Amino acid sequence: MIKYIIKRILIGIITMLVLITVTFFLVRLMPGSPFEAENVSASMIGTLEKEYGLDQPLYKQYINYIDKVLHGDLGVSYKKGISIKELIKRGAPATMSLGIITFIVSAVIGIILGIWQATTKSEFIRGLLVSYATLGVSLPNFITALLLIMVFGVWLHLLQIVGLSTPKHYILPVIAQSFGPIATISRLVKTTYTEAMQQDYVIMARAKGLDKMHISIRHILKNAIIPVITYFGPCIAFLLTGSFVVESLFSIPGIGKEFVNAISNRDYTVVMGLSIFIGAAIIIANLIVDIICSFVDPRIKLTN
Amino acid sequence: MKKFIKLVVLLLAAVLVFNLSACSGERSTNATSKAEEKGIIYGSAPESGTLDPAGISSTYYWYYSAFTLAPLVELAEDGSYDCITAESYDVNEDMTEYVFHIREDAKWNDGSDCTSKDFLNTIQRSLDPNCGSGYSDMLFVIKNAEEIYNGTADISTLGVECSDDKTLKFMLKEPCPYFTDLMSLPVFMPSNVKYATETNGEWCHNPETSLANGPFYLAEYVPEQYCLLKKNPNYVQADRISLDYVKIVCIADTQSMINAYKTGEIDIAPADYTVLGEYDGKPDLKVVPSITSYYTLLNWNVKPLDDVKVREALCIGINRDEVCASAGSDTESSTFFVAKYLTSKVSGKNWVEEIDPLFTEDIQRAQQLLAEAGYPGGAGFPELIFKYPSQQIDADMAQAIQAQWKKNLGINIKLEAQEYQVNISDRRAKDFDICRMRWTADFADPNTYLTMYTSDSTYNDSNIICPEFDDLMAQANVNTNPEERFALLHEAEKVLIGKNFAFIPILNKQNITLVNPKIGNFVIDPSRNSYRYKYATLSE
Repeated sequence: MIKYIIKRILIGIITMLVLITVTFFLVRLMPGSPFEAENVSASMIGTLEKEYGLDQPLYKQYINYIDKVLHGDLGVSYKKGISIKELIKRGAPATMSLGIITFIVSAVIGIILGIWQATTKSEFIRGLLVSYATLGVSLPNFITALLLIMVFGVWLHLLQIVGLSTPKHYILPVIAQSFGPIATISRLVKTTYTEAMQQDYVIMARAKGLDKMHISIRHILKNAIIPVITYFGPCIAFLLTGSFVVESLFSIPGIGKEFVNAISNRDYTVVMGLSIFIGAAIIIANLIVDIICSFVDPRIKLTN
Repeated sequence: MKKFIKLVVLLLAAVLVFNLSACSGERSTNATSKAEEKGIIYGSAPESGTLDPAGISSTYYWYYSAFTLAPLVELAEDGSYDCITAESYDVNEDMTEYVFHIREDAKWNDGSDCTSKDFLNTIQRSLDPNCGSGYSDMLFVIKNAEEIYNGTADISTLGVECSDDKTLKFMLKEPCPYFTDLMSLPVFMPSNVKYATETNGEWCHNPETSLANGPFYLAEYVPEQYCLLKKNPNYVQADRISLDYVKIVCIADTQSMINAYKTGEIDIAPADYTVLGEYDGKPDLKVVPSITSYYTLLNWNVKPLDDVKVREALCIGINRDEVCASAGSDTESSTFFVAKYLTSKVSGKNWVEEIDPLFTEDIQRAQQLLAEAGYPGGAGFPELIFKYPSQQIDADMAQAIQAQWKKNLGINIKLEAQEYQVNISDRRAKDFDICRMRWTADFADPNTYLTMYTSDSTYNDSNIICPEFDDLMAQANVNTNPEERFALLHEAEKVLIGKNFAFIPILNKQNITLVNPKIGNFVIDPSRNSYRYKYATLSE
């Protein structure tokens, strides 16, 4: 196990290096400069670029950047004048708290709906759940978010729509962000749960007269959950790195919004810093999911 | 299962506690502010830049500084100057020396004296290119400022003197009749010499060190979310302040801003034309003409745009009202380069009220001019490319102009929508035939527009060479008589647009704001054509 984890970490480091290199050169290929704005003269842009070392050959800038990253320095935002570490420190709590709550809500409700869909005998309820699952995966989260804002914020005046300062502020963005993942998880659980219900060991357990809840959790869900856990990896990574749309619509000061704005503003250091942060989050999330899978199903040998 | 549910509940609680601990300040402030104090909540564009007047400035800084920093003098609604932190000022005969006498009672919110050295502090720090300020070049009128910025002169040679704590003397490299207008810019605002030592440093976000000499001071700052400002009893005009607090909240985009206004989460929302219908006739809606001009650059190095007849044909062959109908109901057609509603300091009227239109739209004459230039009915006219940023207003404007040139003059123009930064980059590189351009005045003087297109200006992206215009601008720049100077500036604009058709003025935009009808006593700030809320009142 330890050998496997070390191997995965090493692969992760190589992946990060490739990510940094590709992102660095792609970002610099975009026309424009971080200092370009309508009211700034060309001569001033030249002076500013010189001051920040952006007039040097690209390979030199790349070597300097890698050197800084290896020393733990992600640089300073050209547009905000603050360090990238500070920027991540500011944005991460909002994005991560929203992401974690959304993930938990999605996982719990998704699993419950999936089991319900697989076990219900009512055609009406099954139809309703299937309709939701289809709608959930096909409806983009900005539509859901806008609908929620209009209904609960603007028309009914029930919930706040700006920021995340009180628990009530979480309600709408969490619903908007979890609408899709709940549908995906419930569809996955429904399929795997239905399959597991047909297995011989489940029929045997029923024949032995075991408690329904016991069969459902110990025998069916434990086996049905593995494909769902593999989906959790990218799902957690997506939620933790932030959704630009949801963060923008609810004015949440997270890193997803920051990332997209940095690309438009040519704020190279922010794009690079957040790429590293997001890349690391995805690698770590996938590694954790693999380890969890091996615990849930000991037949999965991580070393292989 | 029970254990699982417990775990989930615990996790949810932990996450909420984790985030709320970071936001606890906001909650407590809200609770006390709303219950006991009188204040307003102002929606602002998302935070970018810093709150340091010498640093990387942004829209957020402007909102913040309008409440916290008091300039030496400021432009009043009628075009005159009000002394704020300065008691008085003297100008020498040739307008190369300005001496500001700072009020004895000018204080920072911690009770310490606001001195000439605090103003000098911002100026000196702004002359380090590392500061990232987009307004550093506004200091270049001061002796040796440009040389210091470019690293060819020492900071000790700067033409600013503080003979004592309350006297600030500016020595300029040439006459500058609009120098007092510059005092509203960030680089001329004070920053406390004791704390503001590191440009863009953390001091400017810390209520202990980010001192204010304006009507409000920074009481709380939550990055990317809001800043809470409280009444400054040490402000020189403290008796005029009615509110106890102002909270500036960052909101991501205009639509979210409008929604937040509707939910009552903010009292003032900068909005766009989409609210004009819904709020028509309601007291919430405030519309002020902006000092933003939209125009179309023609590259003089591209044939046939080097021919004045072609430029004139393109200019007068457009129906601007139709373009505005496409671009949105918050636009107004303009045949001027200088924004129509820029307040003239000579007459107190708008710029447009002082003169006749620079040209008249005339399709028939445009067709005749095009024929004279060798393109009758548009035949043989090359397919030029019109580059514009892919924003709604610019796309609508470009499509309307393309359609009109096709219909009125028979010429085909190819449209090329570009990402905003790419468009600026291409324009700077002079890599365009026709390009959309927009300019918002930095300060309330026509000079901010007109100097851009002198032959040697670094803003002159369309290769305009017009000696007659250069000469008039040179005369205006040294003329110390306001009436004569404005006459020269009007004449210069007439030569640039009305005679040489250097580029094509299209429209001016309007500033649309939703304001809670309970808020009163706010006036127009003519230096930016937006509202000043520092002395606003709030009725029950």
